Amino acid sequence: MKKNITINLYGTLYAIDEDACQLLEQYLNNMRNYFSQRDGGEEIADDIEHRVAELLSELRASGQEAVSIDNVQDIIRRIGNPEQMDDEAEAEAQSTNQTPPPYHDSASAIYQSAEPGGEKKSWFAGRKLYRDPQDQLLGGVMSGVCQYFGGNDPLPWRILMVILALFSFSTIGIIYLVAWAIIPAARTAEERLQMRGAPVNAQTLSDELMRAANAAADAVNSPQVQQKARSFGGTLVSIIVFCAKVLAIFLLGLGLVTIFCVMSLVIAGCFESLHPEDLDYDALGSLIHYNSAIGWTSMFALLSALVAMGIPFIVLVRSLIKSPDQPHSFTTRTRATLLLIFVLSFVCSIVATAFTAIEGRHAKDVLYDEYVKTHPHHDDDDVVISDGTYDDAPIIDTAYDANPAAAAAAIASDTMPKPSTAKAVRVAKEKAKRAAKEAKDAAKKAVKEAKKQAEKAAQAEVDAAITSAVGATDAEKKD
Amino acid sequence: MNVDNAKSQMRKGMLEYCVLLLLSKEACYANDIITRLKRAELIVVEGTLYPLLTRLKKDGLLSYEWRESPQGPPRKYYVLTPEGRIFLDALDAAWGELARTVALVKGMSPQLTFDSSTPPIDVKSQD
Repeated sequence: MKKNITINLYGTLYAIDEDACQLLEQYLNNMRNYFSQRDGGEEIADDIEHRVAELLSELRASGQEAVSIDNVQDIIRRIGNPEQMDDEAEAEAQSTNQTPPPYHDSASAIYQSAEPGGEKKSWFAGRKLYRDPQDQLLGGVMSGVCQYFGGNDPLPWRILMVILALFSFSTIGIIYLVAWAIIPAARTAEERLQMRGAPVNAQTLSDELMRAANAAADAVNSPQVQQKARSFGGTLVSIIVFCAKVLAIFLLGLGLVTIFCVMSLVIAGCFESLHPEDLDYDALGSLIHYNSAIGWTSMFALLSALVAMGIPFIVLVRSLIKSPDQPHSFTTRTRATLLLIFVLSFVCSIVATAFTAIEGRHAKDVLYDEYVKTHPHHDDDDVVISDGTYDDAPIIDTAYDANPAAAAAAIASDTMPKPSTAKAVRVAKEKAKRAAKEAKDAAKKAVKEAKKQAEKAAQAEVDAAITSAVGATDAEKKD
Repeated sequence: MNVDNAKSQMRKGMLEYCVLLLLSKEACYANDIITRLKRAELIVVEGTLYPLLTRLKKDGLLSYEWRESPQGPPRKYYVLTPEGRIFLDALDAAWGELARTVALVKGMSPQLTFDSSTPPIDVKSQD
């Protein structure tokens, strides 16, 4: 249902829809301005208005009561726009993008309103900030801002807006609402041109009008129709869907990046030159080194997880950046195939991950046993003995304190309870080493002492022998 | 397409002549002229007519008078002035010459020599 108004053309009244009237008015004004710079141009404009009136009469005579916007578009297409009417060379010369030549007073009214009134936002490379009602998701704010800054595609702006909104809670939403209220919408052709920063003269105005008329004819996209078609609930739903899509894309993107990182770690782990004794037991690299199947299964798990995450990612991104002239992004067959691949990869990733985990656990246990058996001593180890802060170490500590030799022997013969961490084992080994060393040193010391004593004793004996020998000789001399 | 371009250029040249031809028979108003020219497939966009008519009127080849119509607004009926009639005669002659030139060029293309059967035409005197 549309509002209908009555217009008066040369004394005859016509009933015309409101939007049709607006379009017609713009067209006639445009025509008038275009021809006003010509000699006799006013008459041409009058003739055209007469023609329009005639066509409207014909319409009414054929039984149609009200003139609709389709009729007006038909009329415009029939009569044509000024460029199609040029039969003089001066038309070509004047339709350049120079500043508009001085007009007659009646014609310049529309241009006076185009002068910088100063009540709008600041100038930026000659543009004015408008909302764009022809390309609006909510209020056309993002679209208008995007055009103000010279961009062509409002989508990245919208995504940015949604992400900001998610992270700043309601602040961005309030800013958006304020902007929606303050920034005017570009409704007339002239305003649309200013929004894009295009020069405003007769040529571009008529171009813009024709473009608007044709666009309205091709799709049901005229601002009024779209506004009326959107209920509040519908808008809300579309916003929520949009936000959800952006969020999902964001999370999936994170997941994909994570998978890539893990994959690179796995690959690095496979090719690293391995000294198993240098690595922690949990290193994937040593596991793969032990059982190459682990490498394969883990890569498989990662790849299938990649596919499982990548498919919804791509689908969502495509649905967001779909251009309007692509009716559907995927055929049914493609959709079914993608769904199948997604399910398969999802299942595979889970199975492969489980398999990798089981196999890896087993491998880890085996490796651990091997390590413990083949490496009792370690002269290269750069280990700092702690003061007994490990959980398992106290067993060895107390044993060491009580009886160092016995503890060392017990560790060497593997009868001590095994600590579960590798470091505790190393600590234990080091302590045993120390104990042995100390024992050795003590023994050495003891030996030295004994030697010394023996030497002393021997020396004393020798002295005594000499003394007695000397005494005996003296005694003999006296006789 | 270049053919369409060339065609529209040719039509533009003929438009003035055809309009004057129509008006030489009877006074018409814009709608009439448009209908007939459309039937002859000479114009596509109606708007091309109005600047042309105004220019012809400015040059004094046409004049118009207002007549009331049974429905709708009053109509401008265009009529040929005496100067217009003289101009039309000149255009008639010009058109004949053009047609003959084209025919000659077409006919001459297989053989480029004159022989006594074809009447000698002085091509240079045609403008």
